[in-house]
Formats: sequence, structure tokens, C-alpha cells
Amino acid sequence: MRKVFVTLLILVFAVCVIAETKVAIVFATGGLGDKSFNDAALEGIKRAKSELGIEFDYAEPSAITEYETYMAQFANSKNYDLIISIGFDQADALTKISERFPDQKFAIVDMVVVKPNVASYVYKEQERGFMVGYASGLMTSQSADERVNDDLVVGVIGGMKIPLIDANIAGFMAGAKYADVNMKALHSYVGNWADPAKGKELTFSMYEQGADIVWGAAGRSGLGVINAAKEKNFYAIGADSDQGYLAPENILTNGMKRVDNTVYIAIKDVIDGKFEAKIYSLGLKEEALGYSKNLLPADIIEQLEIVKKKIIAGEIEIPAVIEEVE
Amino acid sequence: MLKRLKKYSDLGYSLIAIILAFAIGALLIYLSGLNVGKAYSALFNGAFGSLFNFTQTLMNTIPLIFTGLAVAIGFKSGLFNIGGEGQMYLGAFVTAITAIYLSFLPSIILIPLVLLAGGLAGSAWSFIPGYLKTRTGAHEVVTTIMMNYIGILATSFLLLRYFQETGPIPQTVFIPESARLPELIEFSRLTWAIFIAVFVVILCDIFYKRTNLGYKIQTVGKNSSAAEYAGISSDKMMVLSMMISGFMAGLAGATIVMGVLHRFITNFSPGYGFTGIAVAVLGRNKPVGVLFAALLFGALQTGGITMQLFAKIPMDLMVVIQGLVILFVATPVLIKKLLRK
Repeated sequence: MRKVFVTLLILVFAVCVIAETKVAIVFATGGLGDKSFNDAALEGIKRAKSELGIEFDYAEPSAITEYETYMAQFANSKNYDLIISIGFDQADALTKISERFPDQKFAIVDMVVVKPNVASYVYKEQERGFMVGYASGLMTSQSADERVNDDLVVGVIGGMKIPLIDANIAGFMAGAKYADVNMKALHSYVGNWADPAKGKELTFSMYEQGADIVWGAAGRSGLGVINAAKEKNFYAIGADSDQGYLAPENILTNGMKRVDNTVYIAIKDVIDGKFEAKIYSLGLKEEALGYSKNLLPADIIEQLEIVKKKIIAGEIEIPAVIEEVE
Repeated sequence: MLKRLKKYSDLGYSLIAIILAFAIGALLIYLSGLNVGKAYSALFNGAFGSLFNFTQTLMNTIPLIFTGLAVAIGFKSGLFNIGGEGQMYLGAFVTAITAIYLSFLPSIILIPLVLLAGGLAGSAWSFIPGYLKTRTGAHEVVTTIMMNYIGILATSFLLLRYFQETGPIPQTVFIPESARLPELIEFSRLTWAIFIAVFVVILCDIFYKRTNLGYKIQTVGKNSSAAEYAGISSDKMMVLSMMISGFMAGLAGATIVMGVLHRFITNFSPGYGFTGIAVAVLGRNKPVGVLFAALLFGALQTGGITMQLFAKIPMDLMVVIQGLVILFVATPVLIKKLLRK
């Protein structure tokens, strides 16, 4: 009897150890249902649950002031192997909480917090820029498509002139020129993340200069790019998530930021005992960045895949600043 | 017991309303197939279960005291100020900007100055609907609601245009240490603001009970023609009342910036200005009543977090309970009928 009991105890203990990995995730204030970062993060953690057998709890703060409270509640319970913050506006709260709970592991997506117990996951933005830039370059030289004109001009509109956006733009320009050295890649900035009207205006001005494919890397201002393309029937490229549903006939592809895969990677690192409090720059190789197929013709996808392999192999140098492209 | 409660009818009705709301909340939890006991104990523990949790409750209570007072003060002169949210944004914004630009001043001057600036910004914003009401008859409910949008968007515009910290986040730089309210307990974000809030509640109570001006304002609220007949300028009193009301909402913004966020960020509020309306209704527009009503709503907010995290009950239930409380308080007839049975 005692033997059985002891064996059982060991078994229970073993099961506990295996199933022990618990993860908490604090979403950005948009909450679930945002068709963007939060929903993607939930996808990632669900995949981790089914494939890696973790348990997770999540919090949907309704205001920036609540981030700290949620993080503190999670950390205070000492129940979680990892607490993940989604989105850059959690940085202030995480900086304070990570000091207060030095033994707790944290991860933040799309932002850098330099603390000895925080892993920061950011992106090699220029890589996705290159992919969609290359796709645009190939597409604009296809004369058969009615939405494509004869000019070798494409464009990209950034939200604000900050290094992160400039990396995207530089990648885009380099990618377009990689498709054809004579390619002209225009770029401009909205100066705001939430001004679709100005985004639209800038897109029209690019259209008048001959651009028939425009990428909006501009947060909500990017919606203006999509609307402009819809109105004058040319191509727009979406950003971060698959925005194809906004204009099924005009969204050529999307410069994807795969938050789901990022979350999955962060969790896997903890399970594998590889958690490190450093800055991870993820890109095509980790499937953390990429493009979506949408309206891309099969032959272009083929070429994109070849280039993608080359980038991963390090055969193509992609500049992260615009001056290096020009 | 109930008879005795009736004697203190205001307090009594409020308490019965709260009990009824929780009873219906329990029913909803039960009908959703969840454990009522677990839910409410998580709620209570989350709000009062530990020193830290209690500090979080108080932290959430502070802005609600101010926005609740804002609405209650408007009511005193018969005005319905729904513009607390916008006034609060103005207060928060001006607080952050003055703190950043006057950072060379010593703390002892800077803190009161910045606090005052935040309050006055709220006043300036509420002056406009007050003025429009007395001069043109524009109804304050309509104008204050509209001023919310203008206030929230105007601060956001100014921030993005002139004051944004370099980077992708729509926020100012941090305000200097010297302009921050000191924390009472480390890491709690509960600051001296709680004492400021209680002090302001006491001041308001004295103002309306003991001062001539307070009495005049209330007379206007009860019957403006009678007040005019007695030689009180109801127009002046209304504008003044709106400005005091806006000052309170401005303080809500100021204390959040000085005590919690330490900078201005767009969309920082989960609707404190609007919850303030509920707080004032439950507190029967009395300053002390507002204090306790704010505590209840702060506790629901904080306890709701634990309830969501550890009892898996959606935060929405808290909103339902808050709504029920207000429904019952606003309809005393309903409670009277229930009590008679």
C-alpha cells in the first residue's frame, strides 16, 4: 500500500513538474477582438498551450493605469514562469514591476525594456520592408494587370520619422530596387499614427507621380492608404496583420508582424531553459516577420520565397537607414 | 431594521440599492454556471484582502472622488456637468506641461503650483459651457458632452504636434521628480493625493453647509427664480458653480499625472469622468456621500481585477453591478415598493 502511495506521489509530482509551466499575458488596452496585436498574441499563446502543454491566464486592461495593477497581481501570486506584456505602452509599468519582482521572468513584445529579468522582443523591420518592396517592384512591372501602370514607381508612407519606420522604408526601397535597378521608390511621412485623411492625401499625391502600389506603414493612418487605393483602384499594401478584408480587390499583400509566433518563441525559450534578459531581434528566419499571399500571383510568390531564403542565409544585406539605399 | 434605515433615507436607499445590485449580480453569476461564493470572495480579497490590494483600491478611488465631486457640485446649482472627462484631460495635460516647463522650481512650490494649474485648466474648460448656458441658454448637458470630445482630441492634437516625446508613443516626457506626489507605500502608486482628495471633500462639505456663497449656490439650484427674487444673481452663481466643478475634474487629471502616470499619455482614462456621474448619484450629491461612493466604485474596479484573473469572471460583471446600483438609487420608488411587500 505504501509503495503504491509513494509511486503515486512521485507520479503526481512528475506530472506537476511537466505541466507546471504557467504563463500570464497582459494585453494592450485595445483588448481582445482588435484584429491586430492582441488577437495575434492570443493565437500564439493558444498554440503554445496545444503544442507545448502550458497553462495560461490573461488580462485585458482597459486603461494604461491598470497595467501595473495587473502585472503586480500576476507577479505577486508567484504562479507564473513568465509574464508577457504586449505592446510598447506597457514599458513604463514593466520597468517598475520588474524592479519590484526581481525573481520573476518577464517578456515584452515590440519594445525594449532593459532590466536583468526582462526579455525584449523586437523586429528586424527592414526585412519585411524588403519583402513587400520586392513584391511591389515585381508587381509594378507586370503590364497585364489593369491596376498597374507603365511607370516603374512604387511608394511607401510612414507614420512618423522614427528609426523603426525608417528601417521599414529603407527595406522597402532596397527591395523595390532589387526587383529592378531603375525602380523609383517614393516615401513620405504622415507625422501621426492616427490620421487616415492625411494618409489618403499623401497616397493620392504618390499616385499622381505614377506610383501604382503604395505601402502604408503608419498605424491607423495606413487606413487612408487603403481607402485611396480602393477609390482610384490601384494597389495598397497593409501592415502588421492581414488587412485584406478591408479592400479584398486592392490589398496586394501585407507586411506582417507575427506577434503570435513571437509570443510562442518567448514561451518556448522559457520552457527550454533558454530565457535570457536581452534584446531579441526577430525577422524572417524566426517567422516573426513576413508577408501574406492575398492577391500576389503565384510566380511572384515563388520569387519572393527564393529571396526570403537568401535573406535568411545572409546573402542579401538590407540597409536599416534610408541614406544607405540612396 | 429597515424602518430605522428609512429614517436616514438617503443613506438607507443607497445601502439597499447596493445590496440589491449585489444580489442580482449573484443571480447572474449563478445563472452563468459560475461559483458565487468564489466570485465575491475574490472580489472582496482583491479590493481589501491585503495591504497592497487596499492601496490599489484607494488609488482607483482618488480620481473618482474628484470626478464625483465635479458632478455633485454641478448639481448643487442645478447644473448637470457631464463634461468631467474632458475637463480632466485638460487638467492632466496642463499639469504635465507646467511641471515639465517649470521643473527648475523647488518641489515645495512646484507641487501646489502644478496642482493649481491642473485645477484651473479644468475650470477654464467648464467655464465655456457655464458661460454659454447663462448667455445663450445653450443646455449644459449638450455643451459639456461636446466639450468632452473637443478636450480629449485637442489635448491629443497639442501633444502630437508640440509636446510628444521622441518615439512612437503619444506621450510627453516624464515630469520631474520634484513635481511628483510622494508614494505612501513603495510600489503602490498610492500617494498623498488621497489626503488631498479627503481634504477637498471636507472643504466642499464646509463650503456648502457653512458659507454664504455655498448657500447662495444651493438656493439657485433649488429655485433660480426665488434666488433672483432674493437678490442672488443666478447667472453668476451658475458660472461659478461650473468653474468649481471643472476645477475638481481638473484635479482628477492633475493627481493622476502627478501620482500615477508621471506624464501625460493620450487616452489614459478608462472613463473616470463618466463614472463620476454614477458616484455622484450614489453619493446623493453630498461631498461625504461622494467619498464613500467613490470608495465603493474603486473597490469594485480593483476587486474586479482579481475576480477576472483568479475566479475567471469577466470584468463586465462589475459594470453590470455598477449599473444596477445606479438604477436602484435613481428609482427610489422601486425600492419603496419592494420594501412594502
